[in-house]
Amino acid sequence: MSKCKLSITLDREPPQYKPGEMLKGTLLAEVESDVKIDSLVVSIGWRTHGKGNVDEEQVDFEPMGAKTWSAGERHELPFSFVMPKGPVSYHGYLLNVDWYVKANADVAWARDPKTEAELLLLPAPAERLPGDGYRTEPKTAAQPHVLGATGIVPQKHDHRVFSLVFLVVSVGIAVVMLGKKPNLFSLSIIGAFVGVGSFIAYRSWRNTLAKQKLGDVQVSVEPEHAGRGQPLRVSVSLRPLYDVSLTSIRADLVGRERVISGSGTNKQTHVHELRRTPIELSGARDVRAREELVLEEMVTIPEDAEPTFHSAENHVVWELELHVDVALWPDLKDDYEVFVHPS
Amino acid sequence: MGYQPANLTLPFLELNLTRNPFGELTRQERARVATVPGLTIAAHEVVQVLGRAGRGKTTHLLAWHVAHPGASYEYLGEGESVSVTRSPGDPFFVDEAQRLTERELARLFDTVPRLVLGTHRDLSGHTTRSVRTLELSGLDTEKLGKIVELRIEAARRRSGPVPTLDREALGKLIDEHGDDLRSIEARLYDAFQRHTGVGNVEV
Repeated sequence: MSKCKLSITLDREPPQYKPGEMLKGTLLAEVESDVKIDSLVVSIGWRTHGKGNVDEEQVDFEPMGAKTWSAGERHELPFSFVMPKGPVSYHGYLLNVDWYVKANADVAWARDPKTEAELLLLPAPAERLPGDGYRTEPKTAAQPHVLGATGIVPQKHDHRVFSLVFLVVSVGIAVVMLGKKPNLFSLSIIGAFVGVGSFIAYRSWRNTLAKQKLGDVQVSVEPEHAGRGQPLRVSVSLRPLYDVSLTSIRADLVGRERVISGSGTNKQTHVHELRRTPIELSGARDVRAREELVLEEMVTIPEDAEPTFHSAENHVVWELELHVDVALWPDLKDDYEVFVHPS
Repeated sequence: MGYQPANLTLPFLELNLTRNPFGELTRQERARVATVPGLTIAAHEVVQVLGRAGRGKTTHLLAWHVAHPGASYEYLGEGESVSVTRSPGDPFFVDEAQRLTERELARLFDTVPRLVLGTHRDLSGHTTRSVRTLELSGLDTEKLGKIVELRIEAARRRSGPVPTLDREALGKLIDEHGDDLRSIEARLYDAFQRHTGVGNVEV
């Protein structure tokens, strides 16, 4: 049984705060029996919940020191935090990000009392930029926010070497087993391995093969960090090494939640597509060798776009998915991340 | 849908919950909401919890681990071996024990006095010690109802009504998913995401 009961009251109801604002609160301790607390700490942080494994981060803390209290006492301890720049509170389908103020007491040889209170971190308003007299209209610019856990950098994985090794091993096993007069069951296993190996290898090497004809394809999405409702400029340029027939060049701006649950062999990735905006860059055309093709289009991030979020196992990702459809040749498909800020 | 910060409220406020009750739990949370019988394990006894994936083996081991101070718990990933130190915890809980090699199993049985194994296949033939087996299979509406109730209560925001599942919904889940608790959990996650207010949840 706990020796004291802790509860937290915040200075706002509903408890909504924005970056840079001061959160004030009171930790109330109702002492039920004499207690010596080695350390009492109030902290603020965020935590994910939903389909994915829980990620959390403590962003700030205020030590309240050691306490010696007697039964029947009641103590009110004020605290305050300056609200950070994010990540903002988010309630999606697979993923939620919420903020909490917590209090933890370290009591020797007894159950440690603790409590927490929820709050919402809303986006900072977009910054209003003055226009240049009559030449340009005033406009708004997104305020940069923190978009997830500290130190998490989204990574692209190159599976080409692994895929080749897998394919070679699969084919090797197939050759050995075929030499041993396999039965129908073994044949289907061999077929499945070689089939999967081939598919993985094709997916991993497709872009490399596409670039054999297309040359280096330059893609830019500007700005890389944008606010909701902001236009993006998408540019694709290529100078093919050979005459090439293109069926189409298109892109989609796609927002997704991507979360991981479980661990080991129970690990699963769950994906929920939030939105998809198609961008037609080019229809069918022929491009001669060494002729430069430059395409540009604008796309607007939806006004109510879900903001980018990255933590170890939970993500809200916005990507430009590019597809260069090459006639009678492997296509080029690649993704380019856009960081959507919540204001 | 979309992100509308002006409309943001505390999560699942309308359902009188703090989160989706069927979202992923931490190990400690999973142990707290488990509806498992207590474990009494005698000196030098081996207990194995036997069942297919998604039937609750890990939930049993985690709940018992929390209830036994001094115990230790290890989850074995594919290809991993158990780290049996001089004092491996008493009892010692080993999850996914079917992944151990013959030699590792033999060492485990020889060195650990009170041992609890979570396993997909029967390991009793690998030891001369007496092994008590708890086989996890089968699910009825009463048991599922209890599991669901505990998960919802663990996510309760304050006193008052919370969403419920009626007997018909429980029966439907068992008809469609059998005793696979993991897939029932996934189905209920989606149901609660769609649900508004308190009251009976449609599955």
